[in-house]
Amino acid sequence: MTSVQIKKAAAAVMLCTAIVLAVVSCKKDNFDIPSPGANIDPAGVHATMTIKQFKQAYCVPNMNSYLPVMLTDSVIISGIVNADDRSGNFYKIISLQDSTGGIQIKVGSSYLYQDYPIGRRIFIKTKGLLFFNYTGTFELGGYIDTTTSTFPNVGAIVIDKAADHIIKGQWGLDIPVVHKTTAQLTFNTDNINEQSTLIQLDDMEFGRFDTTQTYADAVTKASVDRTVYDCSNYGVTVRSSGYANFASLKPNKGHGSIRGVYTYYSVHNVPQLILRDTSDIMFTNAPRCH
Amino acid sequence: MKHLFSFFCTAVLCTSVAFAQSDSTEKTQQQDLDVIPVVSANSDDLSESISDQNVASMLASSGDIYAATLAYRLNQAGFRYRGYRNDQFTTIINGILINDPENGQSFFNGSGAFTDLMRNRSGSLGLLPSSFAFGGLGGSYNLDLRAGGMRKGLSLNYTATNRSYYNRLNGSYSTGYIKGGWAFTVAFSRRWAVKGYEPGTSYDGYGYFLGIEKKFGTKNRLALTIFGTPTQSARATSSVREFQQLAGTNYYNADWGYQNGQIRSANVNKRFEPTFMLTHEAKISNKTNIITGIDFEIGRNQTSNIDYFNSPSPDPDYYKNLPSLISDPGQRAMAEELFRTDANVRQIAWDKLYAINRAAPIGPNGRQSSYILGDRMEDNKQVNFNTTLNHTFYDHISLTAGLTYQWEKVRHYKQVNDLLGGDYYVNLNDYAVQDFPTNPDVLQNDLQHPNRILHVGDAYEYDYSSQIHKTSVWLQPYFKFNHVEFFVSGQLTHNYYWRTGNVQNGLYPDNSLGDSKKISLINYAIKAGFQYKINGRNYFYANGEVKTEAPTFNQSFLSARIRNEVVTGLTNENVYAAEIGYQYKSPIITLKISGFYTEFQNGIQNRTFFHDDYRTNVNYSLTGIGKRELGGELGFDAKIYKGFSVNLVASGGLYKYSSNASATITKDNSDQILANQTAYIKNYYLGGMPQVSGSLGFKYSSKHYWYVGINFNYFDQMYVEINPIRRTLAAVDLVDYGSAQYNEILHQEKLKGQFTMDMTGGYNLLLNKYIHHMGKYKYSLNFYGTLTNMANNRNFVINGQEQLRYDYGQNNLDKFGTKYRYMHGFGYFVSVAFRMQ
Repeated sequence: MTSVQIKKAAAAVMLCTAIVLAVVSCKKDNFDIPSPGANIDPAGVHATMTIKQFKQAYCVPNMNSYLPVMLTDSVIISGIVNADDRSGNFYKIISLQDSTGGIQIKVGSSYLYQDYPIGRRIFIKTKGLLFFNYTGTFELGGYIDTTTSTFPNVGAIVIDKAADHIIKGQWGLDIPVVHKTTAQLTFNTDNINEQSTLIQLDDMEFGRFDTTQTYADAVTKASVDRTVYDCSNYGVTVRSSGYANFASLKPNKGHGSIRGVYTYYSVHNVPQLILRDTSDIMFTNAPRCH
Repeated sequence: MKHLFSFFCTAVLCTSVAFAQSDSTEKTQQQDLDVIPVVSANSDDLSESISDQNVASMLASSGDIYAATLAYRLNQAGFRYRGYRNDQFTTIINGILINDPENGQSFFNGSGAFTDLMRNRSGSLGLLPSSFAFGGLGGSYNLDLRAGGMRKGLSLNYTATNRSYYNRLNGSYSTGYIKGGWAFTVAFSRRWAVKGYEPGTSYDGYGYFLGIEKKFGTKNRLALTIFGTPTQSARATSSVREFQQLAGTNYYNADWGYQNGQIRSANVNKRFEPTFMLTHEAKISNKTNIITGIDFEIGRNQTSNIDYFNSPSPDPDYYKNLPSLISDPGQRAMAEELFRTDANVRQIAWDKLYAINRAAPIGPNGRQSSYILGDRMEDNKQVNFNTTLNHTFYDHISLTAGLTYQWEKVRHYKQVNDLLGGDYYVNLNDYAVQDFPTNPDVLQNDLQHPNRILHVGDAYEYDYSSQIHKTSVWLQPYFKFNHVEFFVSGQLTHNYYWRTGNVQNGLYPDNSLGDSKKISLINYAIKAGFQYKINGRNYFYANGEVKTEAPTFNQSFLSARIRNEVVTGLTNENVYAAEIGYQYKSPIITLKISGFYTEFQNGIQNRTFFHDDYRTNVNYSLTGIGKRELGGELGFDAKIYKGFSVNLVASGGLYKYSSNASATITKDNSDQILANQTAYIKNYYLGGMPQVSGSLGFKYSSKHYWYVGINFNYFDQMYVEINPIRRTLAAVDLVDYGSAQYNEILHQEKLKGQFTMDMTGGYNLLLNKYIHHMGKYKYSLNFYGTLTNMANNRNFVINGQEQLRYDYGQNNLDKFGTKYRYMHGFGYFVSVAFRMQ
């Protein structure tokens, strides 16, 4: 190998290495990843009725019906989820509200909070769903279920169809809390609209006996009613599921505000509060009335 | 020729010492993708890991230093030539195209077994034209196994190595042309390892080869070639880091366990695909040559795994066994300790599975097994016909033309292999139960034989056949002048294929049995290029190609295992490719530098994985996938001084997804389209290979028939293969935009760049010198050895794959973490061959 050849070869190698390195160094590590998932409402989906309008149109005429009613109009309602199934106190149910009222929808999953957590706006395409008056609480469901009771009721929307009816929107939204007094929970004229909304009662405390018992029966999984009282001794039922993760806890002995989803049970003709979890009890060490 | 394991491991490096690279692909990546046992082995998926190995010999055969070094030095880290998958390489054996029509894979199953027969081969790299095939983007490879061309004499070879097999014996005897124009070759091979490199693996392979050729006059050759390689191997799969760390080894393999104290693997592959080839070649004149061949293959490929009914997964590395999912620290520590110390937790607890099956209540049919060992079967029949004409019109113009017809039918099904102590199993789909409690039909894998009781040997779960007819014609005029050579070639291909359901699935009673829609697609390819010869030593060339490619069978069906549904928007893939290069060749220096660019548009991928919330298999059909692969290559070799030479090869690429894909999501147990989503995969790197790699080698070749070489290799820009569904809206739902968690979800892990060092050497000893009176024969002993990964680097991740499942609920990336495959540590391959000729 002559020195000329070596020089030529060396030059060629350097040139080529430079070219290869040039190609290689074109790579940018900060490549632009398109960005899915901005927290916004879906484009092109709007509520065509408020929840109040919806109830006026469909619940009121069917209020005394004990049979599920098929919804056939192309109606979309929207609202912010005010209760999900994270604690287990709600099971296969989410509750939503807009500024005019609230409603509940049954969906066949035990992980609804992973898709429809509290604070998320959802849009519900009601066509094809069923409306049902479940002992005073109004629900939307997916099919007529005749297996769980002597009377037909609505079954949960099967999870693979949920996406057809429930459109996910912005999340992390605040839910306006309406302060109520026990006297206002008479459940007469306006109960249709106010039910399934988030309410707060102030200056409340659990009954002395209730504080010695658990919220629900975590062993038999039975739901249990506790009562919170105001200082005038008017009581409101707090109903909790045996599946709730706080079922085996005992209610707080303190005094203060309590939040929950306002529902109604016509059999006992009583208004009820359903806790999302125990953080809905905002009691302090303030002196009890009783 | 259906499956892709193995590779063309030979290369004739110096003398004819066969060098078999690691045969580690016998154990494939496919299991890594198999996130759950019910997912059938998708042949498409197999290609990923096979391609590098399989293509190795093709590269080597092209006769340039660049390619040969790529083949032997870079191959070990999963290097892929220009980022191409295996289906972009065309393999011709005895004049017959053997790429699998079902998936395009290029694979010769005799490659590891008959290395001493693979001397007559040629190849062309990239878009360069060849005289035997139109060629894929990566090139084409021509292997001539006809008896007449074999080197006369006897060859016996023993190899010791520590790869998927540890021992290899092979031998061959060829007569060359004898009286009457006959020629015969017989060969055998045996490869085995009682224990393979990864724990729980083993290998047991045989090979036979018979070649008969008859020459008629000087113009006609007729050759019959028969071979087969019945092989059984226990394989390993990779795992997530948490399990590898707990097990204390990067080679942790969850696929085996102890049964009565003996190691038993659940992942055993058996393959036997005997091949019969008939080739006729007519050398009509000095100017005209026609080679025509037909090949028949009938075979079976089966892989076992444990199936279970209404029972928890028996897989030790099942995600629910991850200690990190346990929130209580004490419990977690206990689980970790158990995994570390108890082989029955870390590995399959066979005894426990037997005990469970034996404890089942006795019914009219005996005990129903909760756990069984089942085989995923692929019974294939294949016919390949090929004819190629080469004609020179006059000095400047020649023509190559070819016609190919391929037919393949593969029956895919599952078969009961072992009831593991029970008496029977039932042919029911236990996932469907949960979704349709009121419709008992959905449980039935086979509606026409509901609730069928299964015994060993019975087919169950899915059963369908794929049938493919593929016909193509191609034409390639080549023009050659003093300074310029150029060509234009074109190919037309007709693909005609369908699925035939052999059972009526309860979930799809109307869309599972019988023939699917018949898919008919026409594809074209146009390739052109020129070469400019500045002088005898300097060449410049440029080539380009435009083509469309039909989706493979598996890409075409939403869930081929159970239904006839064709992917919506089924369309051809568009491919554009170009390369330019410069070559310098002198007796002392060889230099090659080239650049390449490839664009794939409208690709399709089907992925099936288990969905937690739905408790069933979910099919993601991704369409509109775009990929862009560009880069540069360098090959340099110089003979410095008296037998010393130095060589350098480097390949730097930038391989990325170039567009987002549309994902259509369906469940295995309903017709409902769950969602149409966009997978935001644009600009992610293509994973599973180093995009930058290089090797610097020094070699000394003695006049006295020995040589020794050392290579330093470097690999970088390796990325984990992404899970497209982790880049969808659904995956980042409820995650703050731009937050750390958000970025983590979308992040693509880059693997660490790595060095390795290899040594290789060989010696050819002529025995005649030492022993007299040996007659007219020449006797020789060849010694060959190669040592790989000499620093014993056992932390070199050569492949990382994000699992296809995703934890939508909690976005816990470790729940279905990335699975890592590591390069084997120090490796040796030493052989001694005795030759008489």
